[in-house]
Amino acid sequence: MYLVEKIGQLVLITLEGLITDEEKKAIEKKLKEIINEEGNEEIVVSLSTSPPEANNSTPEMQKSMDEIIELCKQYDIRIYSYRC
Amino acid sequence: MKEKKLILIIVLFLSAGFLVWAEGPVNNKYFVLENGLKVFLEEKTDIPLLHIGFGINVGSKNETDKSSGLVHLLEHLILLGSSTIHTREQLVEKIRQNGLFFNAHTSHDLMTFAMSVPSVNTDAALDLLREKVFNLKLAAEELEKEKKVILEELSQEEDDPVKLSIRLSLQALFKGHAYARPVGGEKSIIRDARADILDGFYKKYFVPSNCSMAVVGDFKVETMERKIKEIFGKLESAAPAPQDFKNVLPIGKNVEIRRELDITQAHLVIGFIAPGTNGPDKLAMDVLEQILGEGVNPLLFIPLGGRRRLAESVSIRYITLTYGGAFLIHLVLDAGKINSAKSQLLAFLKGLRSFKFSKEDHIHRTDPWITDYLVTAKTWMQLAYEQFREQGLNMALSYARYMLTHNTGEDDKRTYNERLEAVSSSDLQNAAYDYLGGRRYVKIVIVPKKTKKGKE
Repeated sequence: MYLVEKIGQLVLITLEGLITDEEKKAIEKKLKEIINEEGNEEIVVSLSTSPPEANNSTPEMQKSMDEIIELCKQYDIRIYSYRC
Repeated sequence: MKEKKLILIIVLFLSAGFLVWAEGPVNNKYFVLENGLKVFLEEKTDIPLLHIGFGINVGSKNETDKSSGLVHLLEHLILLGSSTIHTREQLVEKIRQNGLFFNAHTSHDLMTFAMSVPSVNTDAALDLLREKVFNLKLAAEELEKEKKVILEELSQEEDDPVKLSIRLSLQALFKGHAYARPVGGEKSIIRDARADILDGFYKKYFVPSNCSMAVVGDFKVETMERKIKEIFGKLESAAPAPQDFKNVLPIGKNVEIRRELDITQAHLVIGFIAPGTNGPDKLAMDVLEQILGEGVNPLLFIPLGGRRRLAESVSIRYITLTYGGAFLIHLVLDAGKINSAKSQLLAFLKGLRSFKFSKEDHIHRTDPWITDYLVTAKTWMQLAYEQFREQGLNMALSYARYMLTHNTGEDDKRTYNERLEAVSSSDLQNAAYDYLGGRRYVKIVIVPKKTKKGKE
């Protein structure tokens, strides 16, 4: 499960449990939409898990987070995770 | 309102245990509201985030033997409970909706609240912080719930050799001082805690003149000052709570405490009284901590590693508090090696008064095999400092702590790097002699439980 929220210039991505390939594609699509909107050139992504301590609880979760970080790099989006 | 422009401000890294100056120039401002709340603001505009550190000058030092642990319990209730304005559930929803990170911590000295928020939600964050800290509702069912959480934490602490050894070390080193009481407190007192006693603490210490607030992040100082005056300036004035504490004194004799736990390897802690956050030798002790126990090749591996391998791991915890500190050397080792390791360790510490920490101490200083421990340690510490400064929340918390714990009255204008650069090999030799070599110590030994014959 995932949640993508935009608050000001921050995009908060929250992951919970197992993230499927379809969900990863949906996150990518949402990110693309956000960066293509006018005024969003300086957005920053904050990546976190629910619960916060789940970020390294399973290799699958770590892999999902790494993939989203890689995606942000591809689109030249800065990452600053503050809710972990 | 009293206002003062600060070009530089000393920052206190309580968690990391070192005292630094922020590098300037940066756009910042220090002022005190009419109700006594100390405020420090610093712009940091690289990320659209705002970080708030809020400190209250109350910790386990303000408890008595009959109230040990109640400040920590109060922290849980403020962080997780209801206010007089909103229910717990409504507050949780506000935190989620506004993208807030919100946490709290209690130490011997202080209670601190940490908050990060997208800068567009600044007003909501400031409102929520004021409501959480100054409008607590002590609901009976929430009190019972948090009591259970803390009792579980205390039970876990009793079974954890690292946490248990720290608790026993501090109790022995600080015996007779308010710091001897553990932050987590005593189970019996937590079980019997009543809302009216907690309310007494709350009313006495949660007044603006007993608090500090630092905001670091994406804002304009002038705008943030106005907002803070609007939101926190309305809080009623009250006299600051008395903080009448003496500095920790050296211990009169060596102390040994032995415990058994269900563990596979033994733990040995040798602890010494050390300078507190305001002590003149604190930075030298920070460097010693780095040299002795940190980095790729900690110096303590010389007496404890090698072919005899007296310890499997070595770590140091230098705990700095307002009125004193503790320097704890923690070894994980085979139970049969405890006495040898202790003897080797103490002899090595004694010899540090003439140890060559720097290349400059050697006659043949250009020899390539000479290790310059001092330069290596300083490089690591400068790197750690830069990494620390990148995190706005670290900075905000450090500023908030500093405003409540700095009590020397001295105003050293040097930056952290300048002060660190000034630490010499002889400073380290003197600090090692003054606090470690040949001084009284506490020895905490935690060994695996013995199994009865024929039973596993």
